Formats: sequence, structure tokens, C-alpha cells
Amino acid sequence: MTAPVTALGYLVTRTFVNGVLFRLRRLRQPKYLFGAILGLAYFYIYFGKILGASREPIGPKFLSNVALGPELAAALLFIATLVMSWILPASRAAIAFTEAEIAFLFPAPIRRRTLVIMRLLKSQISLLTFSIFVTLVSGRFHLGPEAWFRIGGWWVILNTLNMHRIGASFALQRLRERGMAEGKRRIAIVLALIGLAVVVESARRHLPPVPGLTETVAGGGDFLQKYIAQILHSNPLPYVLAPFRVVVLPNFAHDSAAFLRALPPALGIMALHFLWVVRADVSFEDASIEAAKKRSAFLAARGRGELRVQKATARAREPFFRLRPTGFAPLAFIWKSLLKVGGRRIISRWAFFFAVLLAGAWRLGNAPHLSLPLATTAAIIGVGSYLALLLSFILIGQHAAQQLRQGIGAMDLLKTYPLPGWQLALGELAGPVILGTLMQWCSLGTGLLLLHATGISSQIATVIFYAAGGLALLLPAFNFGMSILPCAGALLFPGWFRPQENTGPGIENTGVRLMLGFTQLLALAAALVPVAFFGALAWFAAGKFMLSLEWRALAAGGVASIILAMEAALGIAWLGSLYDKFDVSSE
Amino acid sequence: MIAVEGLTKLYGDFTAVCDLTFTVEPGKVMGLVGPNGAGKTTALRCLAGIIPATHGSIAIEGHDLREDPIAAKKLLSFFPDEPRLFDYLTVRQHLEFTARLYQVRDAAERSTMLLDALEMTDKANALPTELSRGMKQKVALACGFIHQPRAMFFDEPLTGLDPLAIRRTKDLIVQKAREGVAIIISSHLLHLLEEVCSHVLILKRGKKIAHGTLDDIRTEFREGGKDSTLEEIFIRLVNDDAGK
Repeated sequence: MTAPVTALGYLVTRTFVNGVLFRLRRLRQPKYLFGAILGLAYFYIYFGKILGASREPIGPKFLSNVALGPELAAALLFIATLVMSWILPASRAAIAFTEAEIAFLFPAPIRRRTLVIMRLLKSQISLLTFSIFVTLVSGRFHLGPEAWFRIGGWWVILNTLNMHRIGASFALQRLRERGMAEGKRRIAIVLALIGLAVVVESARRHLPPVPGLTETVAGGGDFLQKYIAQILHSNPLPYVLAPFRVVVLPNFAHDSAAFLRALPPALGIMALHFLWVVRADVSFEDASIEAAKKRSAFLAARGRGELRVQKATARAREPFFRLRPTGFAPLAFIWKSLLKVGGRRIISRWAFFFAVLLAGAWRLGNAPHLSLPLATTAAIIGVGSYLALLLSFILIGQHAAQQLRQGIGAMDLLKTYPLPGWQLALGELAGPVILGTLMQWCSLGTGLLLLHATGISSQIATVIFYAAGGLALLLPAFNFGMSILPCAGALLFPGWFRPQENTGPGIENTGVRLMLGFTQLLALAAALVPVAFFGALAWFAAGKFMLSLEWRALAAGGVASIILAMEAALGIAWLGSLYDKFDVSSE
Repeated sequence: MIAVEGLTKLYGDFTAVCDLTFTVEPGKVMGLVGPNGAGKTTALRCLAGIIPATHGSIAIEGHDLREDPIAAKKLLSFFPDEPRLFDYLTVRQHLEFTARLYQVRDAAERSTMLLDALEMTDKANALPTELSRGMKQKVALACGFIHQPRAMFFDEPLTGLDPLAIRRTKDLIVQKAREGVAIIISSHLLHLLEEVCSHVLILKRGKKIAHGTLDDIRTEFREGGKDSTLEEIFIRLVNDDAGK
């Protein structure tokens, strides 16, 4: 077994060292150098200043006055996590290997048990890193040497949890192999839960009645604290929790002596888990290969800038409209976008949903009197509509930009199309922008229809109505504007915006992401300056002609819309020229 | 006709393709061969207008790719080594989409004809996820054929295909050449290229080391008074060059 473990040691250390060297070497690129500086500054400000400002560890405090409260509460949480390993296991036992590890290790002359040990050894890096991170985030580094006890404590907890999860999946797999059907497993779980309920019920009989809300509030939380203390100390809970408390205890040690006293029993339980896992001779290879494939697909999707793995489309979709072979070519991209979101069937469903929503809003808005449940419903829908609208200001642009950036991946194909760049850009962006704008209009309409249900005066309602109308006019151009900026960034600086390189962990990647966010905000602000300037100019010019307030607003809004639309058109043209000049080979 | 004059592609100080000049007449098939990293794919991408050439000119049927890219691109088709299809478009929808981009008036008839010719009629409403690699290749071919291009560029078209699919693809290429299309194929499968190509251009480190008809090349690089295969010539040239 020594040879494979040595090989793994070599693999892990080389991977780590090469990874660090690679990251250091790429600091020669300005993108990563600036990213690293900004990332370091961010982490310093966040951890050094913000978390350090209070000089107090972060974490639940309401149990800190209860004797053994935090330990017992942690033990309860620990149990809950363990129980989840049995209730929510994967369909088959799998160990997380990468595709490369599978390709090299599975066919190698290595015993299954050694593979498990290798995986457990490899997981130590991530578990240790996570332990340090949690200690850092919880502000424990300000407590001096105690921080090391926390790191050690977390390491024991995480290792035990990790091995328990693997052990549980192995045990369940073995039961399945021996013919225990899914139904039987569920029955066993239900029986276990009934047993748990019996324990809880017997504990409850020893407890005083639950304090009322009024008592708790009046007592400043003391009642609740005492009640929880009583629960935690009522038999048989302390005995049930004892072995689990042993595992979490090192995490609560305040000095070396306490830590050294708490550590051996915890390590003992960890060692038992280790033996349980490595002695289980369960077939995990098939499921591990499948899991590795899924992870690889996820990473590939993230590399393409997608948030999730596209599921294989189950069946063909019916186009929303018939695409004629001749005519304005960018329409083909809109046609394709509508198919991508689901075609006629899905779009019709959404249309139906919005029609019902609008009809309901209209009905609620015009009702002479609303009962409390109806008024609450109206408020929820109204607030939801405006929140959706608010979110959409960013999301639509981002979604459209994502579609275009994905297109960059297929640039080989796009570049062969006999279309000028602006048509490609317009086509790729138009689909998401049109759909997004339609949804925004529906949200805006729903909110407006519910205006009367809120009981506001008709004067204010009129102002809101005009403002919403103006906003509705601005939205298409605004959405185009919002999507042009990130796309232009991706085309201008493909090296900086390459999603697969900027989504990973690391200080420099955090810095790069921060930089991109700031740049986008600055560019947006710059784009809105002329809109605001000419809008204001129109407002004052209309005032010179003694026009009424409504007409002045209309003039200002109209001019602003025109400027925004012009900016969007210029943006599309600019994006098109970037498309034309884009050199795929520089990717 | 594909006319290339002084095609050069630089990446900073690195020369990927150096001063290539050649023409491919209608009905001719030119094989672009070379060892890995010789610049074949870069050259093909420049020829298809995917990446801009640093120097030189490329004309498709007289339309300069730099000056009049739209007109030139309307007349060409590029087939990448891996067929890239849209997950959510059926086979027929792929053709409809491509037809609109290339403004193909009689798209419906041509689609039906192409699907029939490629034996894909029963798969017209299938999504790419339901297709094998060979079938996906056929969809890519159908999309590339629908606008009846006059120049075609194939990058490793035969890699990863089963013998039947290789035979079919070769036949299609030959058929297109007979219809008067100028074709350039990049491939490592030299014995297969010998069957379809009329001309060969051998690249090494971006430079042309041999160019001509297959017969010319065989005559020029005869050894011991007898003709060699393209594979033998290629190995000899590449090794000679390395020896120098």
C-alpha cells in the first residue's frame, strides 16, 4: 500500500506546488496582478478591519450563558448532519474522484481499500483549508493561540462528518446489494424516526410547559434561555448526546490542557470511522465515474459562463413563429433564442401566467373593498412585482451578455456567417432583451393595476402611472445598454473576461471579479450622464415655453428615451465592429 | 476559386503561417497536411474568415475576404473538426436557421433534398442529443451545403468517424468537387487524402515545404526511381527538414 500512497503524496504535493507556482507566475499579467492587489486589499479590509473591529468572535451567543449549552447545541447540529447522511444519500455509493484520477488510478494495480485511503488523505487539504477559513470568518484569530484549537476542532468534526457520510453511503449500498429495497430502507428510517420521537416525548414529559411568546419577550429572552437549558439537561438527552459531544468538544477548548484532554476521545471516534470506511468493501467505482462526469460537466458549464449544466433537451420544441428563409437575418437569432427558452409551449405558458396575473391584479385593484387576506395577497404580489422589476434591471443585461459570451465560444461558426458584426450582436442580444422587457412590462403593469388596492390618493397614483409609463418606454434601450457593456468587455479584453479563469477560488480571482463589477458600474454611470443631461435640458427648455408639469415630464422622458436608444444603437454598432475585429486566435 | 497570396499569420513574435501563396481551382481538392502545430488549422481559419490574416490576401470567387467579407463568406463553408450544434434545435431547425443566415430562398426544398441525400430524413425532428457523432457530422455537412457554397474548408473531417461514415464523407467531398466547388481539406489521414485530393500542400512550422498536384509531388520526390506514397513523401520531407 506504501507505493500508491507515495504516488498520491507525489500527486498532491506536485499539484499544490505547481498550482502555487502557476498562480505566482501569472501575476506577471496585469489582470492577475491588479486582481491580487485588490483581492488582498478586500480580504484585509474584510477580515482585518470589519471582523476585527468588534474583537469578538462571531457566532450564536444566546446559549453562551447556559452551562454546556454551546457544546450540546453543537452536538445536536452534528447529529442532525449525521442523520442527513442516512436520509439523503446518493442513489449509489460514490467517492469524489476527478476524471483524471479515475483514468489513472482505477486501472492501476491498487486495491479498492487503498483507493479509499488515498481519497481520504487527499481530502485533508480541503478540510484543513476549510477549518482555517471557518476559524478566520468566525473571528477566532483574534483570540491568539485559541485559534489553533478551533482549527484542530473543526478539522476533527469535518473529518468525522466526511467519513460518516462515506461510511453511511457504503452501508446503504451494501444493504441494497443484499437486496434491501428502497422501500425497506425508508421503513427502517421511519422506524428510527419513531424511536427518536419516543425519546423526545419521554424528555418532554420531564420539562415544564413551553413559555409563551409574551412571557419570552417580557423576560428579555431569559425564559427561552432557561427553557433551552432545561431541555439540554433533561434525561436522556445528555446521555444520548454524550458521544457526539465528545467529537465537538475540542472545538470549545480555551486552553492547551483542555484541548489535549478533549482531543484523544475525539480522535478515537474519528479513528473508528476511519476503520469503518476502509474496511467496507463496497463497489463505488461506477457511481464515482458517474459523479466525476457530472462534476466535469458542471465545471465545463461554468467555464462557458453558464450557471448550471444544461440538461439534455428531452424533446423537440415548436418554434414560436415560422422563420422564413429570407429577410432580416438577426431575426434568426431571436427565433433561436425563443426556442432556447422553450419554444411556443413554454412561452405560451408564461403568457398565460402573466395574463392571469394581470387579470387578477386588475380585479384586485378595482375591488371596492378588500378583505385582509386579499389585501395581503395584493401587497405580496405588488411588492413581488416591483422587486422582480428591480432585479431585472441587472439580470436581463447579464443574461443577454451571457448568451453573447457563450457565442464567443462558438466564434468559429459565427465568424463564417455572412453577416456584419452588428447584426450578429443585435441578434444574439435581442432575444433575451425582448423577452426580459416583456416580463418587465408585465411586472410594471401588475404593480400599476394594484395601485388602487394600496389606497393611495389618485394624485400620487397619477404621478406613479406617468413615471411607470416613462420607465416602460426606457426599458428596452436600457436593457440593451446593460447587456452591451459586459459584452464589450468580453470582446475588448477576452483575457480579462474569460469566465473559466475568473470563476475559480483565489484572491486574484476575487480581485478580478471586483474589478469587473466596478468597471461595469462606472461605464453604466458614464452612459447615463448624457441621458440625464439631455433629459434635464429638455425639462428646462419645456419650462421656458410655459408648458405644464406633465408636458415637461413627457418632453424630458422622451428626449432621455431617444438619447438612450441612440446610445444603445451606437453600442450595438460598436459591439458589431468589435465582433468583426475579434481575433478568435487570441483566445 | 480560392486564391491566396502571401498569407501570413503572426501571434506576437511567433509566425504561425508564413507567406502562403496558392490557388485552388473550381472542382479541385487540395489536401493541407503537416505535422501537429504546423499551422494547418490556423491557415484554414484564416481562409474561412474566422481569424484575420496578418498579411496577404484571400479571395473566394474573386471576393476579397478582407475587403468584402460578407460576399466572400456567402460563398464558403467551414467544417470544424468537431460538429458544433445547438442543443435545443432539431436537425431541420438547424437547416432553417442556417438558411435564414445565408438567405437561401428555396430552403425548404433544399433541406428535404439534403436530408434525403444524407439519409437523415427520419431524424429531421431529432435533437442533437439523440444523434450519434456521425449523424451530427451529417447535420453539420447539411448546414454547410444548404447555401451551395463555391469553396469549402474541412478541418480534420474524417477523424473519429466509422469506416462507413468515412466512405460517405469522402464520396460527398468528391461529389462536391465534381459540382465545381473548390475544396481544401486538412487531415492527418494521408492515405485517405490521396483518394480525394488532386493537390497537396505540405506545411511545416507554418511554411510551405511542398505544393503541387499529387502527380507532381510524387515525381518531384521520387526515390530510387519509383513513386512513393504521400505518407512516405510526407515522412521523408518532415524528417529531412528536421535533419537540416
